Amino acid sequence: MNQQVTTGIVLARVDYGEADRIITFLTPNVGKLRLMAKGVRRVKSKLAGGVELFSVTNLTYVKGRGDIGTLVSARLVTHYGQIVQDINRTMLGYEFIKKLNKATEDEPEADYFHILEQSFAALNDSAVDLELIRLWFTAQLLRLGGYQPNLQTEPDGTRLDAKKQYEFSFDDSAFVARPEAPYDASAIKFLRLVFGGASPSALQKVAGVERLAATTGQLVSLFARQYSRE
Amino acid sequence: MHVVLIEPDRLQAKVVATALERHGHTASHAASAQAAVQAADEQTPDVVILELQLPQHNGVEFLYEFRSYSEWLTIPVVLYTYLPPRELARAATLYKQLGVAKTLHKPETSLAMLCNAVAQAQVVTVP
Amino acid sequence: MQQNGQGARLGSQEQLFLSLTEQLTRPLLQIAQLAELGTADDLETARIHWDMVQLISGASLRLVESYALSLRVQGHVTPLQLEQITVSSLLYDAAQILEPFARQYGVKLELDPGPRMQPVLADRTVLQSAMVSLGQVFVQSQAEHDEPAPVQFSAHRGRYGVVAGLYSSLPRLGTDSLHRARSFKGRVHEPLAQLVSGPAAGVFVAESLLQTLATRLHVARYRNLTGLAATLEPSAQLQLI
Repeated sequence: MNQQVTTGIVLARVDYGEADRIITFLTPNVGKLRLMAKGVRRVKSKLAGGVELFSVTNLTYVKGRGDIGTLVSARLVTHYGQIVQDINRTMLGYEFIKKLNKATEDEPEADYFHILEQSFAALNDSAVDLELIRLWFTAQLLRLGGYQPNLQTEPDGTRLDAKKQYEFSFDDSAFVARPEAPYDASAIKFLRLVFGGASPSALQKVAGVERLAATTGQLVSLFARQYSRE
Repeated sequence: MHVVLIEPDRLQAKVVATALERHGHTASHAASAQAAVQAADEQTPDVVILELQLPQHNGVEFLYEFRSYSEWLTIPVVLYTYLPPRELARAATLYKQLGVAKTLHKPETSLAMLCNAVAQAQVVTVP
Repeated sequence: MQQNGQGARLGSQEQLFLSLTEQLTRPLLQIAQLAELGTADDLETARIHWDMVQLISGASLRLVESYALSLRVQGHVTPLQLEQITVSSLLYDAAQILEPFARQYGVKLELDPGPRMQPVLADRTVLQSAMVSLGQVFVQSQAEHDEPAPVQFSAHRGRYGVVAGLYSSLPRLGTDSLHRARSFKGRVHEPLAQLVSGPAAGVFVAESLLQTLATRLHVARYRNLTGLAATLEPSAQLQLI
């Protein structure tokens, strides 16, 4: 048997036939992987086990002839067990899994795996604000999808000025200077950090992070909605 | 109708079960997500009433697990929970995707309203 | 107190108050529902429902009173009344108070008084209220299991004094779970989800009371059981005799 080894995060589970389940994993090296787990249906302790949600698992599998391989063994590497201790974090975690599953219908790059892993790590850390994590995740999906807003210049190429106030032009995907507009230098710098890939726990240390996340979170959500497939 | 009632407080469950029985339904009680899967396995429910705040594994985990079985895909779930409406509203899309037919905030829901919601719960389509 | 994360602007007392209000929603709802069920078809059922109302109201009143007591003592509105207390007899009294509540939930209470120990210097009402508040949470925790394990009131000699608390065989609490719960009471809906669903306000009210006695709760293991307990210093006064 030609056994392959990888790590994966569970995206979805569906039953198959009388006794089996098909589990979709997101992996860093082979994108989405669908594996058949044989004989695991209706196991009484099914809410726990080797293939848990909010976990990174070491997978050994055998490639199938078609789309679906066969899971030989699964060993838990990291379980982000704190997420399910808080219902709001659980809800956000599931939201991320669903969004990422949808966003990666084609062959996903390794970065998607790392985004999801980092999101789980952030959700697992009770010190990191939920809205910050939501903002961060949305921004990373946008970035990987190639939809990053222009955070350096106005639409005409003028460099952004630390002393000015800005509003966001959705048509131009860029900031435009206007007196008494809602976004100042600190908000734009914060967005640069967010889109620049700083981790949620690093962002949590930024002074005034709650206010910044609240101010920019709505903007990023609206921006994302333009490009969402939903 | 047969209802699986997922409620961690046994006294609360007794009261709700009494109300359901008076409306002509039968009810199995489960205090946790794991027990709920077992209860659904023993007798397939027509409707599930679910409190999201459960010990160890919460109600969202249960929903995700429940919907991973093809024979349970169309069973309507009525959320009957202490979780505040604003927080429920934040995850409205997720709940819709998980086949939640109705969302009820416990402090604002009488037993009559709950039984009504159960009676009206239609088969759902889970995408 | 500035903290990162959810509810960062809530101070510790506000968190406790929010936890308590969430906790009290539950019995109030149950009483409203029992009232809605109204007159039962038979006297026996009606009696059962009224017993439940009495029990639920009693437990809620105890919780409110315990919280109020902790505030009054902390705010120096009521002074502490310190006396020599035999911990095992206090735990016995606490178990007696909780017995009807536990019975209704189908949970067995046990008492392990431990060996003969020095008395501690404490306020009897404060300490007893703390143990009863904690006991209510432990009973509810066990009631959430298909097969509830007994809840044990236990006192034994620890390294630094008399360790008094509540224990059970399920669940096995992690040492950091209480630490996390303290910072998240009132800010998340289930700060101690491994132990019990919901706000677990009884734990924090118990701790608020214990803090007036210059002690606090810790996760404790004793004879294969896990629980929450407080360490109380033996009274030095009797050592002079």
